[in-house]
Order: sequence, then C-alpha cells, then structure tokens
Amino acid sequence: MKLKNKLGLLGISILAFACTELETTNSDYLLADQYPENQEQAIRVANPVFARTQGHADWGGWWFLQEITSDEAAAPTRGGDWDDGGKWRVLHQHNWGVTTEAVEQMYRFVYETMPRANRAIELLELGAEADPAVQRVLSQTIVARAYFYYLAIDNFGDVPFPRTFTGANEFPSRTPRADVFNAIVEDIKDNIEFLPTPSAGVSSSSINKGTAYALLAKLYLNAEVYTGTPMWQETIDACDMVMGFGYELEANPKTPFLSNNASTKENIYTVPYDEDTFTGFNLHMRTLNYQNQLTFGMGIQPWNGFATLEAHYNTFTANDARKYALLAGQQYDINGVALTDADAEGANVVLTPNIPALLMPASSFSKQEIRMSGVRVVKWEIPEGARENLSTDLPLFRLADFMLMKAEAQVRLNGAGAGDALVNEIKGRSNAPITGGYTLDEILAERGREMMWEGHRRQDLIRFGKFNNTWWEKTNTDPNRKLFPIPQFAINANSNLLPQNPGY
Amino acid sequence: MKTIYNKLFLLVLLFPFSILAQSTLTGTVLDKTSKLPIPGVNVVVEGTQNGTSTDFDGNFSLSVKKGDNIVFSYLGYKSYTLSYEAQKTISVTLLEDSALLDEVIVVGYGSVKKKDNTGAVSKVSAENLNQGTLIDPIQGLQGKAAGVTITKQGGDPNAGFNVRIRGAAGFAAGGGPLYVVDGVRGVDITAIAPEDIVSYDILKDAASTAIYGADGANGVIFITTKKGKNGKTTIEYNTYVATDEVANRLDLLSASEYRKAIADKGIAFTDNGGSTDWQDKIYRTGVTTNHQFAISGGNENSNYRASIAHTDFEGVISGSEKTRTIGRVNVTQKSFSDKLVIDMGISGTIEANKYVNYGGNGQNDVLFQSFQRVPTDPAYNADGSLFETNSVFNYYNPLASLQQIENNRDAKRYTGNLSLDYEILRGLNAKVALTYLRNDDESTYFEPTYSTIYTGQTLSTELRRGFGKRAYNNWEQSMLEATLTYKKTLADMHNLTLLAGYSYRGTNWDGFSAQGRNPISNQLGSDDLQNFEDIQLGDIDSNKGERKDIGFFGRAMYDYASKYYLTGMIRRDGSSVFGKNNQWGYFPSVQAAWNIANEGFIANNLQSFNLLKLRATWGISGNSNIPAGVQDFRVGYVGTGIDPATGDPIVNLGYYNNPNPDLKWDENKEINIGLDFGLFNNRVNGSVEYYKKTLNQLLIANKNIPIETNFSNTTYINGGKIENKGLEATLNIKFIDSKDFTWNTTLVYSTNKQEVVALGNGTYDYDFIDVDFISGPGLVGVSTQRMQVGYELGTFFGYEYAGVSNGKWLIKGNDGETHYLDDVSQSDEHKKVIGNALPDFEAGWSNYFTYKNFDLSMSFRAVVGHDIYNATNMVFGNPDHLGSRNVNNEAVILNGTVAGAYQTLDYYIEDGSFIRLDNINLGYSFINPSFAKGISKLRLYASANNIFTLTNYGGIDPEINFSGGNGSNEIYFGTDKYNIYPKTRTITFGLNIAF
Repeated sequence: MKLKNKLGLLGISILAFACTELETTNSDYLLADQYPENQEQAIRVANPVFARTQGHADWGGWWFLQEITSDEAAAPTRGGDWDDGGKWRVLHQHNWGVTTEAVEQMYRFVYETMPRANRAIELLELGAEADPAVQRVLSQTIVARAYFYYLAIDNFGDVPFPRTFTGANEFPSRTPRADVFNAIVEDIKDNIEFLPTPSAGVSSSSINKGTAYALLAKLYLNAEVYTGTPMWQETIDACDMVMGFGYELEANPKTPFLSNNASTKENIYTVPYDEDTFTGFNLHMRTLNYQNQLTFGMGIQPWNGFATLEAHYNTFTANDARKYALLAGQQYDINGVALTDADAEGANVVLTPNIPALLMPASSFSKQEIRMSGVRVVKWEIPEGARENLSTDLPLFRLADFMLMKAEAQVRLNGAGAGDALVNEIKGRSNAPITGGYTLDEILAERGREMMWEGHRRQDLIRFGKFNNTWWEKTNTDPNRKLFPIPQFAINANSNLLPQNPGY
Repeated sequence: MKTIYNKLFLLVLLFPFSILAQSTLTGTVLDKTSKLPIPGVNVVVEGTQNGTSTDFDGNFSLSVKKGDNIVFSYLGYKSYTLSYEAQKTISVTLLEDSALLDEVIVVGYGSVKKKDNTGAVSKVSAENLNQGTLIDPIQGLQGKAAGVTITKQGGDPNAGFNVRIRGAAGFAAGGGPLYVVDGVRGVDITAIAPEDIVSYDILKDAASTAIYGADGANGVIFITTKKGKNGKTTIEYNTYVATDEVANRLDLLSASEYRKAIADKGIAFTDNGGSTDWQDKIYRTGVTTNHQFAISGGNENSNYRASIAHTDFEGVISGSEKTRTIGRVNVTQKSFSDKLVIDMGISGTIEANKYVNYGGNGQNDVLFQSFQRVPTDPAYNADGSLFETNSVFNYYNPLASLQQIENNRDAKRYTGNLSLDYEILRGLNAKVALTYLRNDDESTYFEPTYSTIYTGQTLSTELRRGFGKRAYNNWEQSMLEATLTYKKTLADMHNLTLLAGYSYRGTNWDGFSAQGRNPISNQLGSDDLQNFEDIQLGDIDSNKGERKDIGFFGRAMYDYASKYYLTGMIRRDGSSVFGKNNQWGYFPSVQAAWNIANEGFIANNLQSFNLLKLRATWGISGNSNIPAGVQDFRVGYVGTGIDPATGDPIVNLGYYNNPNPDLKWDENKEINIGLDFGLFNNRVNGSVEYYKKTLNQLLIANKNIPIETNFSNTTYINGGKIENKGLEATLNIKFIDSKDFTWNTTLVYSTNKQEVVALGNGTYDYDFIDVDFISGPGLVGVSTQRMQVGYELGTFFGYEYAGVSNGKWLIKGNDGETHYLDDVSQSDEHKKVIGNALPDFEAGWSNYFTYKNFDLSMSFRAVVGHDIYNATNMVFGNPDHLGSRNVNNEAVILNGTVAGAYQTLDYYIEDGSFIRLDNINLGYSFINPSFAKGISKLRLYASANNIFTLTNYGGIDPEINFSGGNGSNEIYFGTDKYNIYPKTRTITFGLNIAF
C-alpha cells in the first residue's frame, strides 16, 4: 500500500509537469498580424520604402552603373588598388556580365524595395478612405514605387512587375517595358492629387507634387527609348508643371551641393544623406587622392580611386564656375602648404587630367602615374572633419536638369536654337560661353557639364544615341549594352525571368 | 564493516530459531589466477535476503540449507553460483571478468555492458585520451574515436574545436553533437576541467541517438566526470607548465628578398629603410600554467568529490589570453536501505578572455596587416611612435591594433543537477532529474582614437576615431526529466529492460549592448560609455527570447541468453522553434544483435573468440538546433531612416523574415551494420561499422528566393538532402601484458562520403548553391565551392588553369577551348569542378607503454585525400602587390607574366593530406615514495603536442576544417584563408600527486 502511494505520488508529480504546451511569447518582435498597432504606426509602414533611396550613391549600384559606364567617369586600377577582380574595368569597357557586382546591386536596389512597397500599399489602402493623412502616405508610397520601377525599366528593360504583396505570384515573369511604363505613368497621374504641394527649399526628400511631375517628365523624356514612341510635348508640359512650383536656380552652381543644402530652392527630390544617421554617400572617399585628406581636413583617409576622363575635363572652359568641382594640378593642405607623397619618393601631389591607362600595374607605371593621374570630382561639399560619409542631401531631381530637359524637348520638336533661353540661363550662371542656336549635341554637352556625376549620364547617352560610341579605353560598341542583364542570382531563384536580355 | 558486524550479530540472534532447518557454511573466496583472497565478495542465497560478504581475508560464514543456490558476486569478476549440498567449509575461486566486456556504456537514460551493446557506440576512457596541455577537454579525444572528426584551425586559446560525428551536417541548423555531462544536456563542454573527466561515450548511429529524438541527429557525446569512491579520503594535486611556439610561419619575403625582387623587376617602390619580420613582431612564446586540486572520499552510503582547477593560457599572438577557473562538486547519497539514490552536482566556471582581432582583412586585423606589411617598413619611428604610411589603401601598422585595442570577455557557466532514483519494487526504478544551466557573458570592446603625422606632412591624420561597445548576454536552461525503468530476468534466459520517460526543457535568453564612437578620453574607454560623443539610433540594443522543448520516450531492451538482442525505442518530441503546422515529430529506432561467440559452434570450436557480435540498426533522429522565431512573419527593428518630411532620424520597424509555418527539424535516417569482436581473452578486440545515413529535410536559410516578392532575402525551408556513407574500424591490441612491461595500441579508421542528393522543397528547387566566398585585396567575394545536386559536399568549383599569355590568365573552358579569364569571368559559363575538400579517410594510431614505473603514450593522426583551396597563396602570391604590400615567393615567380588571380582557379588547389604526431607523453611514477611520507603516488611527466606534420601542403597548416564549417551554421570547408591563428607546438612539464 505504501509503495503504491509512492508510485501514485510520483505519477501525479510527473503528470503535473508533463505539460505539452509549447507556446512561447514573442518578446523582442511583433508578429505580422500584430502590426501596425495604431494609426501612428500605420503611417510609418511606408518609411522603410522611402529609406530605400539610401542606396543610390553606393550599395545600390545605381551610381556605378550610370556613371562608370559613361564617358565622364572611370575607376582606374592603380597598382594593387581598385583591381577588385576587374569589376570596375568591366563597367567602363562595357564588358559586364550576369554576375557583375554592380549589376547585382542595382537589381537588389530596385527589387528589394518592391515587397516593402507592395505590403505598405496594401496596409495603407485599408485606412486611406477614412483618413486623408493615410491617403497622402499611400499616394507617396505608390509614387515611390513608380520611381523604382522607372529605374527598373531604364536599366533592365522588360522587368517583373509585382504590384501586390498578399497572394502575389511568388515567381513573376517579365512584363514588357512599355506596359510597365504605361502602368507607372497611370499610377503617378492617379495619385498626384493626394500629394502635398511642394514648398521649394522644404522637405525635398519627401515625395510631393513636384516629385511626381519631375518623375513624369523623366519618363516622357525617355519614352522613345522605353516604348518606341517619343513624348516630347508631354515632356515639356511636365517640366512646366515642375517649374511652376517655385523652384529657383541658385546664383552659385555650388549652392545645391553644400553640406547643409536642405533649404536650397533648386533641389526637387533628394536623398537625405547624413554622415551619422543616413549614411551611404561616400563618393568623396572613392575619388580623392590619399593626401587630399589634408586638403579638406578630413577625419579619415580617402581611397584614391575614381576620376573623370581627360576628354570630359576638357569640355569645361577655363572660367566655368562649375570647375570648382574638379581637382587638378598641385594639391595643398588646408593651410595652403603644397602636399607631397612620401610613398612616391616625396614627389609633389599633382593631379593630372591624363590617365595613362585604365589598368596601371606597378611593374609598368610610375608611382606618380598610379597615384596621381586623373582629375578628381568634388562636386558635393567636403566639410572640415568629414569622414566616410557626407551630409549633403544628394539631388536626384534638380531644377537645372528639368530646364535642360525642356530645352532638349523643344529642340527635338522645333529644331536647333529652340531651347536657347533655358540653356543660356544655365550657362550664364556658371560663366560658360554663350553662343546660342544650340543643337542636340550641344545640349548633351551642356548636360555633361551641368549634370556631371549626378547619375544621369548613361541615360542621356542612350537617349542621344551615343552610348555605343567608343571613347578612351572603351571600345565595345554592342548595342545590347544599353540594357543590363537580369543578374544570374535572380534567374537562379526564378526561371520565369528567362529569357535573358539579348547579348548576355 | 559495521554493517557486516550488524548482520553477523543478527545472524547470531536468529541462529537458535533456525537451527533445525539450517546449517552454517564457512569458506574462503580466492582469485582464480593469483590465488589471493578477495575481500568484500557478496555471498547471497539466491532469491532471498540472506547474505553476507567476505572479510579482509576472504572468509565468510553463512547460514544455509540444502538445495540453496549460493551466489558469489564481486565487481570485476564473473559471478559464481554453487548449489549447497551439505559441506561445512568450501573454497571458491572467482575468475576475473574481462574488463572490456564488462565496461559499462552510457546509452542515454541508462547504461549497458559493452558486451550487451547493440548500437554504434565508441567509448574512450581517461587513460587513453591525449595528454599534455588541452585547451578544451574535447582536444583529448582528437584522433581517438572512429567517425568522430575533431578539428581546429590554428591555435587560438580562445577558439573552440569543431566536432562532427559521421559527417553530421546542417545548412542552417548546427552540426555539432549533443553533449550530455553526467546526465545534464546542453552543457558548454569548454567549462569542464580535462582532469575531471572519466570517460567519453559517443553514440553515433541514429538508432542509438533516437532516444534523444529531435536533438540526436548529430550524435551524442556523454561525458562522465569523476566521483568519490568508497574508502579513505583521497587528495590529488595536479599541475603543469607549458610553452607554446608557433609551429609554422607563413613564408613571406624578408626585407632583403623584397629589395632584391623590387630591384629585379624594376617596380615603383619607396623603401622606408627598415628591416622588419612582421610575424616576429606579433608572435611570442606563450606560457600556460595549470593547477588542479581535488578531494574525494566516501563510505557505503555516500561519496563526494570536489575539485577546483585554474589555468592561465597565453596565446602565441601577443595579447591573446585565457584564464579559466573551474569548480565542481559531485555528491551521491544512498538511503532507505539503498532504495533511494540521490545524485547532486554543482559546477561553476569563470573564464576571462583577451582577444586580438584577426578574423578579417580590415584595419585592426593583426594577422592580415602583419602579413601584408612590407618588411622594409620599420615598426617604429625614431621618436618611438608607431611608423605609419599611407602608401596604399587599408595598410596599417599591426602593432597599433595589438597594443591599443581592448577586446575582452568575461564568461560564467553554472550547472546544477539533482536526481532522485527510487527503487519502487525490485527491478522497478523511478527517477526524477532536475538540471539548471546558466551561461552569462559580458564583453568589452574598445578601439581608442589614433592619429599620426605622415612623413613629409605637417598635419595630423586620424587613423581611428575611436569606438567602444559593451554587451551582456545571458542564457539559461531549466530541465526536468522523469523516467521509469523496469528490469526483469525470466527463466535465467530472458533479460528485459523497459524504460518510459518524459522530458521538459525551457530555455530563455536575453542580451543587452550599447556602443558609441568618438571617446573624449581613451583612458576612460568603454569602462565609461558616457564619455562617447557620437551615439546614434540603434546603438543601444537588447533582445529576449525563449524556447520550449518537450519529449516523451520509451525503450524496450531484450536479450535471450546474451545471444540474441532486440531493442526498440521511440521518442515523440515537440519544440516551439518548429512551425505551427509541424510542432511534433516521432523518432523511432530498432536495434538487433547476435553474439555468435555465445553459440555452441563457436564457443566449442573457436574458443579464442570471447566476443563476436553482429549488430544491425535502423533509426531516425532529428536536429532541432535551429534558430527560434524564423517560422514566424516577424516585425521589428529593420534599421534607422530619416523622416523624409522633417529630416529627423527615425527608427524603422519592418518585416524582417519570410514566414514558414511548415518549418521542422532536420532528419537523420540511418542504417548501421556493425561487428564487435574480442579474441584471446580480449587482448585483441575492436569493431567495424558500416553506415548509410540520409540527412533529409535539412533546414536551409534559403537565399535563392525571388527578391521581387519576398521581404527578406532569406526563407527558411526544409530542403536539403545529403547522403553519407561510411566505414569505421577500431582495433585495440594488448601486445604485451607482463608485470613490468605493457604495450597497448589502438587504431581507428574512418571514411565518410557525402553527396548532395537534393536542394529544395518543391516550391524552391535548385541545382546548386554557391558557397564559401573569399575576399581580400584584389578579391571581391568570389565563391570557391558549389553545393550541387549529385556532387559531393566540399566540391570546389572554378576555372581550370591553362597557362598565362600576354600577362593574362588563360583557362580551359567548358567548350574545351582556351580563353582569357578576363573575357569569361563575368559569368559562370566556364566554371567547372576543380577539386574536393572531403578526405578519403581519417585515421588515428595511439600507443600506450608502461615499463616498471614509466609510462609513455604516443598519438598519431592522419587525414588523407582532401584538397585545400589555398586562398592565402592567392592573396599573398599576387604580383600586383609587389611594391605596395608584402608577398610570397609565388608572386615573385608570377611577376612580369601575369597580374593577380581574382577568380577561383585550380592553380591554387593543393593536396591537404597529412600525418601528424599529435601528442607524446612520458611519465614516471613514484608509488609510496620514501622521500615524501604521506604521498601515495607522485608522477612526473613531460608532454609535447603537435610534434611534427608530414604533408605536401604549402600553406601554414593543412588542418583546415575538413568537415562542417568554422561556425555552427556553415556546411562548407576546406579553404585556407589568410586569417588563421597560427598552429602551435606545445611542450608541457607536469606533476601529479595523490595523498
């Protein structure tokens, strides 16, 4: 009996512990159906979408694909530096492939945005009718998505085009470029009325009616490339809408690029970079010579890499105010003392416009050639104490761009000279020689000077039919290079993306 | 002895009442071979409580009646049963049982004698482990157990060993075995003092590990620690001092070789006039000291052992240190007429680590910076400050990192366990075990600000702006396990053991960290985080989580006359980390064995066989060592952003993984066929195993998903399938066993072939996954391996070298044509299989000699037939770097013909086969030395680890991980990256004293 009692007790104690309950509490995360918890969070669901613009200057690959592939920027291999498996050289020489890093980065930049945008849109749609604040964020999100699809068709042609999150086909196939074009134009038009009216010099990183018309203008400008049908009048109309919002050309061409440029009335849409809180703008690191650290009193040593091509440097006239952005010749420290380079036998640091070769091995080139060749570009202010990231808000859309775009459309519709007024305004403020009767080629050249290194050059060259020309060490003339391939990783994950773009 | 007197007293009292029926038998029990009396032998009348035990002289006296069966039993001897006729006195001799066959093997929730074992189990006892300085206790097991691969890249005292049993592998789930220390699961084994260990028992096949269900798939390693023994109090003191030297250095150019190469090639170069061996600058002789003190004792009802060990390890890279103190107490108490056995254990470990940064190729990575540093650069300026030059990107004096950076950890490990085992009825035991584990880690990191004035400049350049971080991480596990065990022998022939049990395990963790940049004072550093001026959103972080695991299990073991064995078990396990649709799984297994030696036709004809047992098993076990929460669609911190309207920094909440409610454990389905044998009184014994194990539904952190429609770039899927086939053999031979001289040898051999059978789960199906990315100067994340369906794991995938032309690499493409690498390197079109990192076989050979009071042991280990991708050679053999960074001779050879390779090329694949003398140990013991009264044993020893390595491999050391990854979540191996802490050669002198 006693034993049985003990047995019973043991049995009960085991059963008492023998729960089969596996529930745990999610302490440091929310579950999807718990979010958003309130109205304030509902409005914030789109912030991760807006934050995606952070990738433009660096990890998104966008800048590299728009500029290093063009006739105004190169990333020469300097001895052992900037070889990186040839990933920079293939961009300039138009030999990139399906596994090239910048191509992969660009695709991720665009498409990692889409599920975030589509999810935010479906959550915002639930409350949009009841609350104008939600409707506004919804429309901003739809336009932000349209912006990234614009980048998608511009770079990749026919692209996957998911527009919903819940229930979407996980393995999308590609939608023709023109169809995407038409759909995003409609998206923008449908949502303009809900967007805030811009106030020049205020919140240029937030999507408003100015952003929307600017994006429409860019789409119309390139419509012939995207759809085969030019839309020059629509371009002019959209540019007029943009210019009607009170944006102003700054007196000094440097002003839109100052470190504290949030209040400039020239910038329409910007990436709100900050050296601490919104990092990723490090072009100064990539371009400056090692010793230029002392020129700007920087807190970190730059990487001595990117430069502009000699031919492009030579398109600027001597008194062009925009040459502030071009570092050439003897370099000085912040106190005006001439810089020398101990590693080049103490030679003076003199940056030369000529770059002897895209690939400069240590065995064939002098230390000066390797380290000092190429004019460096410092368009965006480098304040004293600057580090790896700049605080300048990077303009993606800037008034001067839209003035030149309108001028271009006018010339295309009405012939050379039709855009002179606008072009002269641009030239005038930079003391560039004013001649008049500007042809398309002259407008392209002016865009090269005014919009230099701002990420528009590849698109411009394609639109003007010059992307397949040869220059310097770029000899590939394959017209298929106007589109990048869908990267291999995306095809590996989803064979519905086949067929690949021609030529890859 | 007191009880014996009591019993005798009782016997005397009872004697008058039983005199009519009973008579008294007296006798002596002797050892059959030595003819010496055996004290303490149990003498019992079978089936009764009537019994006694022999006294010091082997004598006994027992009241018996005719027809009684008297059983004589004593641990280590074969029992003997005598049918009482009418003798008055008898002399009984007992035969010593072959120790090996009676060795007890831990099988989980119980144990069996080795001869009755039916699964694939290896046992290694303390005396057979590697000796000398052991960084981790598991190092003692290296090369000692077939199918247990223990590797460590390099000799960092702060780094652990990689342990893989039979090619256990997981993509996202950990591949390491389950450790059970004295019945406690989940103990951090680095927190055990090697001196406290009695033995390792390793369950290898799924049929054996199925008793641990969803945690058994990678094998189970039981560690038994020392306990007190019945008898007088024993005090032990062990100490050693050891020196560590770098065993082999990376062969880079010296200053004079560098100057010559520069001059020969006419390369642009600035000579800074130094002559520095940068490896000399960072390496040192490490001195390790160890003290261990233990006290143990006990009586019939209880025993105890308490030990404390303190070790100071110094790594061979200046500044790397580990200090560890371990305390452990084990107590066993019997009560209620031995029906209740209480086991208690408590242990605590306090470990302090000082790390140096070396894992990557950044500014503060000491190894990379010293390897690449040009030998003509001096270490210091004339004024004593560190010499720095900005000759090239990412080029820093490694001494700055070594001297300035503080990277410390303070780790605490606590274990407590209590178990109550009660014999409810004869043969029926109920046991409840409670365990608690707690692991606390604190870390402090600080990089001070650092500036220099370059030659020729007037302004100071900031090389580091300062960064500091503090972090706390706590982890605890509470566990309850209850079992019922029933043992019964029927008709002397049918032996049955039944087990039923329940297990509950709750695990909780939380952590906190804070960081900042720009310290005002380097003196205050991370000890006062308030002194940092640059603190951003996201710099303060915390986490908290939990998981629960519940299991029910049962096992039946049956044998017929120790000839035919059949064991079956099943476990049902559930875990909160599994998806909602798959929270519970069954893990069954069956084992059968036939001891042919006990059959008449062998026993009568081939008497030299003591054991000849054929075994076969089938079972399924699982691996639930997967990240918690990944099955849910989670929302949380996804980074900071800027409010586009106001420009203010904000925190973004977002979705950070793709849900998978079907998520479940990795599964290991395994068939094992084994043969155990013992010959010539077990002087020759061993086993052979063949297994085929299919790792199925392996959890993959699948990054191969459409990013266009998924939030995260990772979805966890059960999609991998890997088939392992292997052969293992173990052979022990007692060559010489005389009074003065003994020689035992052990050979272990194993092969394991692993093939990827499938990648995908129906929704996501892939032919391959590229893995093992290498990066460095001139290398931007190229993969060296491709995990490909139909191919072995560890398959190197890249370009086939075909020469050099016009300063460019040529490769042979898949079209059979020769191409310039430059022309084809932007796609995978011409990549092919170029090697394999899996060894053909691994072998260990251990020898143990004793001569009089001398003892000597020697352990060799061989790993044969695997390729290594020498990425170190790729980085430091790059001729482009001559003139800006240091290089090896390869660069000098290649220079002028070609620039550095930037893609995976078979040019850099080498044979990694090696034979290594892991350990040699020589000791001399004084027994009851006359010069030191009170000491019962004093042993002096000298030991050396990593004595020599025979290999054709050109890198620092061929012991690259060749199974599993460097971390727990990697499944690729075999690439020599330039950031491996050097392997060391250790010489140890030690002393063991027992009182």
